[in-house]
Amino acid sequence: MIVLTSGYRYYQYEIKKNFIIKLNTICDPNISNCFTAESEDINFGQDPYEKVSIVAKYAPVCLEEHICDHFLCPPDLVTSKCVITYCSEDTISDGESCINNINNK
Amino acid sequence: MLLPFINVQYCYNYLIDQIPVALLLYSHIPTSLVSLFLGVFILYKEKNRQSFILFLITFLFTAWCFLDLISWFFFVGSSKVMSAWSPLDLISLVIFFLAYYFLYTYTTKKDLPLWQWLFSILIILPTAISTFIGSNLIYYDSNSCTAIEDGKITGLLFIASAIFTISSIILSVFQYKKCKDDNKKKEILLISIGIIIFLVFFFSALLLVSLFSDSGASDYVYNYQIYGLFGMPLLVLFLLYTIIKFKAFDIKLLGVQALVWAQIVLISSQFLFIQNNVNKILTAITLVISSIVGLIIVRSVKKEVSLRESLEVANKGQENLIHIMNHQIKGFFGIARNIFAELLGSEDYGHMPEESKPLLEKGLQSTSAGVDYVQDILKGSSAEKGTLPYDMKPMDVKVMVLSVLDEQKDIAIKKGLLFESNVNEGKYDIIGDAVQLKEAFKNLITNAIKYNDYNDPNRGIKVKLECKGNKIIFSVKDTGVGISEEDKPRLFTAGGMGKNSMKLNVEASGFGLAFVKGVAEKHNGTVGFRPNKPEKGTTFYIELPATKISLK
Repeated sequence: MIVLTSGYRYYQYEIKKNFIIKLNTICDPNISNCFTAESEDINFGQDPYEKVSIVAKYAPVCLEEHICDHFLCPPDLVTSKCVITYCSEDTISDGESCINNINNK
Repeated sequence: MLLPFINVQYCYNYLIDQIPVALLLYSHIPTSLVSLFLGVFILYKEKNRQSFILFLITFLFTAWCFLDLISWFFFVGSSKVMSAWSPLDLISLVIFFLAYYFLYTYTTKKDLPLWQWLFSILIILPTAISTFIGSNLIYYDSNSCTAIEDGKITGLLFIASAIFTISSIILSVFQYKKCKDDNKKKEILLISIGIIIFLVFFFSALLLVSLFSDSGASDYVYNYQIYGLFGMPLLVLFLLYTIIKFKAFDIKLLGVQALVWAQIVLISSQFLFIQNNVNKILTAITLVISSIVGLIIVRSVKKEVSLRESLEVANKGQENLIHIMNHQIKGFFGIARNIFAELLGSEDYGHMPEESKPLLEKGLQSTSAGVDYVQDILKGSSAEKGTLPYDMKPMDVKVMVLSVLDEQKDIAIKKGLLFESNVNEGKYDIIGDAVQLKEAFKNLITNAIKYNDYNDPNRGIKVKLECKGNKIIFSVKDTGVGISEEDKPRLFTAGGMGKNSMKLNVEASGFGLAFVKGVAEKHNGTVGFRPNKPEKGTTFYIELPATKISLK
């Protein structure tokens, strides 16, 4: 049972990369509504930042390294596979605030 | 050392900020390898259900440590972290189940009943299903380089692990209380403590840390998880002690072997965190020297143990021979006694001349004494070794004592002894062997008769039966010459005789009190004596625990 389960999960995660990665990535406040936070526990060294949620299969290497510049979801990907969350009243959490009021798609 | 494995520099930087890598390696690798070695060793030496379950526990623990280490090494990349993290909950839950299973088979010597198998599978199933479909891990948080667990599924795991842990505690307490043999009780206690400590360490570290991390109570809470792994070396220690002291598994494992191997593993594990080349060389030299010295010591101890075992076998052989001889002698005496009895009592062989009767009576008396003498030796020796058969049933000690007093009173009075008896009111119900206890009680009275001071005009015996608290005390007070200091240590040993007893009764076998002690101990009681100071003589007593049963 353990071997079967582990084997199947290995196939899903390692081979098919069928899982979601969430992270903060660098945000340009001139282009988008960005999050900002004073605590490193929240911004993880990225400030200002936007929030990305993407299926690992479609995530470029620079994302995990947190060095992607102006990351955008690939245009042919559906929203369930890649979402960028910009700062707004609906998306903000404790300890965060928004900078800029640019209306984004 | 880790450079070739770094796929994500961001995560590597994040890791070394959190926890020293050496601590991670030291807490995971030696602990799991030592336990795996023990599991393999035990399985190799003794192939049975218990050793196989133990092997599975150590194997799965090693697998868990290996996967946990990968999940800690976030720098290997998200997919590897997710793959390694995913089965951890399932493996840990199976370990909890196997620990309970091992404890059950070890203490009861039976397999789990079907309903417990089904119940266990039912408990494990939700975790197995959630792991298979991947719902136990919601997503990978690339900010903290960790997999995020589903709180509800973690909660189910918490409950399942708690059920196995609490069941293990209840089972241990129940089996400990049920066991009658003192040695077996200690064995059960040690194994149970080892298993429960391991489970509690593992449980509290794994699951409570997960809960705290969900609540955001503290930063880097997962760091505390590694301390949970040190429950396994403690279990290994308890297992080793039980194997060496109680031969828990039928392997000739010497304590010194275990120590030497542990030493080799611990010194070797230093290589995991030594950076300096000079230190590496020095550690290598230390390892080589201590290994050679250790193995020489093991060889010499093994030789001594082997010699001791040969001696034990030879002694056992001799003991058996003496036992067989005694049986044979008893048989010959018995035949002779029966012949004398027949000649004296039966007219079938014609009328015996009157002049021959004293001789025949002497013959009967002598052969009867011979049978009793050999019987004493056999019984005393068996009782001391614990091989005397007992038929334990509910009985009333008072009824039995009254019957003994009835038989012995006339014998004492015929010998010119004052005979006093005092049976107090009380509950004297116990579970015991009435036949052996009667013989033991009778032995104390016959000793008091034999070893009294017949020069004392006030010579006598006082027998008392009383209930004090939850103890039944039977005591026999004589007016004899007392027990000297040098005779005291040998009094209750097989063949041990006091100098005075040899003077007063040359036909004493020296096994009577050994028999009394064996019987008393079999009934969870004690036997002892005390001088009657300032009066003369000695009081011998047997104390038995009263049982909470009623024969009515």
